Amino acid sequence: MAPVTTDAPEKPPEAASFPHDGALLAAMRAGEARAFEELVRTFTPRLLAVARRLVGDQAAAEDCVQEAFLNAFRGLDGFEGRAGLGTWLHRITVNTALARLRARRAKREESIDHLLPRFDEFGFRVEPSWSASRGVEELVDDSEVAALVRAKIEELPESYRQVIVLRDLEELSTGEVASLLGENEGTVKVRLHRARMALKTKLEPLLRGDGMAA
Amino acid sequence: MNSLRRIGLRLERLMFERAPGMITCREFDGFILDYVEGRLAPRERRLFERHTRFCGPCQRYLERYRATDRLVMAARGTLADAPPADAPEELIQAILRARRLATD
Repeated sequence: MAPVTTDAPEKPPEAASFPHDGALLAAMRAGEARAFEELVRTFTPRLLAVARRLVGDQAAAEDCVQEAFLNAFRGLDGFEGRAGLGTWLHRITVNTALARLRARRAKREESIDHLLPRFDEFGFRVEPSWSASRGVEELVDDSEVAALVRAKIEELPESYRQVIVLRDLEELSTGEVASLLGENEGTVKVRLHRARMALKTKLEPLLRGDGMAA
Repeated sequence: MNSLRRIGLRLERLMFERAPGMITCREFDGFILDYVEGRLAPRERRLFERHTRFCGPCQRYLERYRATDRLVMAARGTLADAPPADAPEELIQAILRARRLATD
């Protein structure tokens, strides 16, 4: 899972700072309103980014984050502090987002067949030969490339985006992803493979060095 | 494509498929995920690697698939540095308001 720090962003002058998670947690359990405000202001931006990766649009992500915080507030007494508050909130947000996606009636999803490998009439793969203008090791050091990769993942249809976000970005195991999505591991593997193949096609202009807009 | 060329390609395909220990390009596809994640059984790995020695398109595909995987891993590593989404003040106030209502 991507590390989440508790470093607070710049806050309005009237907001208080709590030196560490333990102090913040104690203040929330004591019902201090300023502690809840500190928690929400500190973590909302990152949780919105997490939700957005899973549910796909800003409005749904905001609803998801609001619901996640309320779930967290209800579960405060049960939080044992083994993980940091940020990690705990991150997991609640992921679970909340997935629950929303499961509840959402599956609408007809855009096909990715046009992004999958092609084979000729004799069953041989069709994969054109071209030379990359930049090596992949050069690309991985480019922060703009990383942003572009994330943007291309967000373009994938929902069921493929979910599995690649959970498995490859959130680093959950196949078993954990299957459990969260309510699917069996075989289905998750197939969907992950198709998602990666589709992403490979989407990133091909970048790999070739054609340049691409996010 | 003229008919002689089609026949030639069909023969090439048959020879390729019927060579000992040779898998098809479609079968190769089914093995890619497990191969890059190191989960192929030894026999299947040998069949997979043999295919890449004889099939240029699949060899290229595997290289580009791995490059994509590498880019996704790099993107994962930058998530912590990625600018977080802007948090609308309305959202923050809505969350705090909902908490107050829930505890009143």
